[in-house]
Amino acid sequence: MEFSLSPDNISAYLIVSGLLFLFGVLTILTRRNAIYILLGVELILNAANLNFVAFSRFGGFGIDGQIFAVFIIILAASEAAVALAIILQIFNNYGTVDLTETNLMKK
Amino acid sequence: MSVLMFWFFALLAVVGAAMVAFLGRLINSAFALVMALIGVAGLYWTLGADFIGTTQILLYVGGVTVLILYAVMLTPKESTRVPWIRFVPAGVLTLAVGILLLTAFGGVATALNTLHSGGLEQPLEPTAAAIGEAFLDREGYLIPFELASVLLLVVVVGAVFIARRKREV
Amino acid sequence: MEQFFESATPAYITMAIVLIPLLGFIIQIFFGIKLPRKGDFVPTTAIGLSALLSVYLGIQMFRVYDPGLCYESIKTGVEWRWLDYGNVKVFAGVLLDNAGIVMLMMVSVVSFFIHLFSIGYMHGDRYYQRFFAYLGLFCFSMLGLVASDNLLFMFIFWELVGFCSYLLIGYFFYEEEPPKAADKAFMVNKVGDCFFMAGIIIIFHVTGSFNFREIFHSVESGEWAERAAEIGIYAGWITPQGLLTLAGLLVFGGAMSKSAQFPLHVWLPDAMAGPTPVSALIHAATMVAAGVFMVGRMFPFFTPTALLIIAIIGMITAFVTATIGIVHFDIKKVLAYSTCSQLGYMMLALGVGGFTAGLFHLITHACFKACLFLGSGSVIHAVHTQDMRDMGGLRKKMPFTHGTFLIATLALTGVPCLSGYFSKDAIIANALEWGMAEKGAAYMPFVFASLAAFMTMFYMMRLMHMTFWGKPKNQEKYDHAHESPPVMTIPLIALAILAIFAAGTILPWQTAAETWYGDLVERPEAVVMAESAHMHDAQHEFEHLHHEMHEVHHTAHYGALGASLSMVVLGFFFAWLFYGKKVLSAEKVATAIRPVYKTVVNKYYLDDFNDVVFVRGLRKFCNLLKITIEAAIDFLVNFAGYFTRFVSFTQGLVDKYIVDGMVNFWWWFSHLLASLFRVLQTGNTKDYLALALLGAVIISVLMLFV
Repeated sequence: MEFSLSPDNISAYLIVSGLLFLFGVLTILTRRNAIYILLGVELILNAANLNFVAFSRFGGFGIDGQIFAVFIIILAASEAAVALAIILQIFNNYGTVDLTETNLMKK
Repeated sequence: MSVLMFWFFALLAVVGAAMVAFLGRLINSAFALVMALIGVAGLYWTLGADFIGTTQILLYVGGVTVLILYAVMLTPKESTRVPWIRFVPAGVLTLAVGILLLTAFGGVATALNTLHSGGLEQPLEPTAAAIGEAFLDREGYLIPFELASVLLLVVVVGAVFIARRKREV
Repeated sequence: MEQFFESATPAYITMAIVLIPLLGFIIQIFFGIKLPRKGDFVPTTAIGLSALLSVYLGIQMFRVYDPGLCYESIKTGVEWRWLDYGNVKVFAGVLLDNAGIVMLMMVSVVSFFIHLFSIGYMHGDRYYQRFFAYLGLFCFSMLGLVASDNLLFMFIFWELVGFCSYLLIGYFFYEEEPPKAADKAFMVNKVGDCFFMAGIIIIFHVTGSFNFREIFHSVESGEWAERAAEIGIYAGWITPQGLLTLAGLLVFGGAMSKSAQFPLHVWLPDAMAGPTPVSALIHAATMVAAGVFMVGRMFPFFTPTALLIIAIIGMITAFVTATIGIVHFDIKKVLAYSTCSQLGYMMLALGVGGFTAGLFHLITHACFKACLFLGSGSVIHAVHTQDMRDMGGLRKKMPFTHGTFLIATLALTGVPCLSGYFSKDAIIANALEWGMAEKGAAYMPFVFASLAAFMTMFYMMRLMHMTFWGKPKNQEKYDHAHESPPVMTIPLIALAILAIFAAGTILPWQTAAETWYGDLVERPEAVVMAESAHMHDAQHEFEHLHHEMHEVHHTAHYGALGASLSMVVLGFFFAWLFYGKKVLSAEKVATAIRPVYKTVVNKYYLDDFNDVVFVRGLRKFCNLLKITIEAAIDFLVNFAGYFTRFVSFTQGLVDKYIVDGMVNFWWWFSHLLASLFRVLQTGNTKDYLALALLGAVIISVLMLFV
């Protein structure tokens, strides 16, 4: 395994995207607020996107990686819109966006 | 020079992400996300994906962030201090994922070292034209492109519907 | 006209003779009630036709006049394939010899007259048509018996005749006596039939055939000796000669019951409970004669030992039953015992080798005994009682009945010139011959026969004195008495004529051997001879015997004649003393020999013996069986109950603990799993996210490293 942090090696970009991914996961796991979850999801998506583009550049895949990246952006944006709509609805119903309070299941 | 650019934007992205995870207040995290997104866009530019980078700025920073800020403003402010103890199990899991990723990436990187030189020798060209052509190419990504537009329509309608004030269903 | 008996015509005629009464029976039993006069003319006409046909056969027989005539329908191709598979072949046909043809004539003619008599006697009876139907069935059976050429068919008709006897004895089924008498007749007959069947089975087993001629041929040619020695069942304990004797005696056992020989005679007196025409036809003339006829048919088959035993039993029967006949007051019972006695005579005759005499006596006896019974029926019809103590002096009131009755009585007792004289005298002569040839104890049959002749005369004269002669003892009944209508007296007259002329001669100095019957019916050669030493003795024995008998023939004949005539006179005299002049008193004699008298009156306690030993013994045994079986069945049923309960209980346990246990286990197990998995369902979105992530991690691990 050869790690290098110079931009002429893919591993640099992979590490960055990996870190982004990690922080995204951490956010999701630790926060109670629904909007936080959304932030975390955006981070994860961006990490994946970065992966795609990096591989597109270094892996000899031509333009396909970037096409994928475009699609991911589209999807991420639409998903964020829907998620926000849901969060607004949750707020209307429960009066809070704290996800621990939105448990309808009986303990 | 390119190394410096890379490091600048990489740090921007990573630190921004860390701030999203660890900052106490929601609004702060939102702005930190903006910072991370800009960093990622810059990284795109260093990779030679000019179109992607630009689209990132436009959509993410412009659109998605504004949406999030709207949501933040419409919901009450709560204290979102995370008790320290909660980081433990999450941290364990994250650590596991991290090791995984490291292994995966390491393997990939080794495999790609052979292709390393091939990629860098190519001169960086503007990509917008190429992407545009791919989107309109019948043997390319024409159909996914069209489907994506349908998806966007559906999303718009769906989001409006979900966010209605009255819940009749 | 020899060709007549070489064609198939006699077979067809005989079949017609046999089957026409059957047709009469079928018509009568189904349609009799609806016909005019209740159809009595149907069976009468049927038997009349049979009589005419048999007389026609008789005429042919006289034309041929051959003592050796032996017509077998199988030879002319007329046969009935009864059984035919593998080794067993039974082809039934018609056998006609002179004796058989005469028998056919006698049976059909006498039956015809009895049918006529019945029209008058049974007039007004409630079940009139049934009586005639049964008569028709009986005639068919009897004629079939006579015409059969094999033991199997003879046995079939034998049984049928017994069955008809049962039906007819029990004719008055609504009274108490007749059904019991019918049962008794059938049961006692069945005992004899068992012996008969055993004999037939042995014969068939050894010879492989039922046909008379084939059986005789088998014995004669030595095949019997060979096969009897081979067959393991017999070879172990009996010689072929002994087996022959045994088979003969078993077959005779059938004749013992059918022809009322001592001690199987007990059913005949009780059979008088049936209507008088039945007594006349079946129990005097025909059915009881079937046994004698069968012995005659099987005559060549009997060994000297067997014949000796036959003679002894015949002798005992003749004597003992005559003694019982002296002491009874019921007119029909006296005649019944007389019949038993005369049958004993016939058997005696056959046993000592007097073949012609025995069968001749059968024919003559049929005629006069039927006449006597019908006469008694006429008397009973007139005075409405059977007890002779209520009769007397009927001579004046019923001349025709008296006249015919007297003639028949004289014939029975052996008064010279009448037919019975010839036949009876011949029997006694044969007995004397035999005694003289064998010497010593062999004189016993002669002695007993003579004594029985004395008693015959005695009791018949007693009957005459009490019934027809002297003064009426019951004035009321006497006043009511009147002669019977012609439909009843004409048969009486006809039978009386037969009783006189049946011998074909009335010259007293002629012997039976000189009559037409003596000419036509000769003793057949015994076939009991073969290669083995034992058998050789039998042949010698017979030859020697017959030679001796022939030597003494004339001497014996005169001796016998003297003996029988003296018996006749003595009997008449003593009866006159006791019952005519009333010089001697019967009661005094009875009191004097009281124990003897009691024994005789009680029929030698035979009936009581049978009752206690067989009837009651059997009942007790059946009761015992019933109790045992019931106990056994109860035990089984209870056991089944307990067992079922036990099984159910065990099954219940299994069901409760094992089956339910299994079900409960799954309940417990699923609860366990559920409670384990419920932990995951927190309802918390974040937890779900974490789980999703965890899942993704696991899958990636699997994909990367596995």
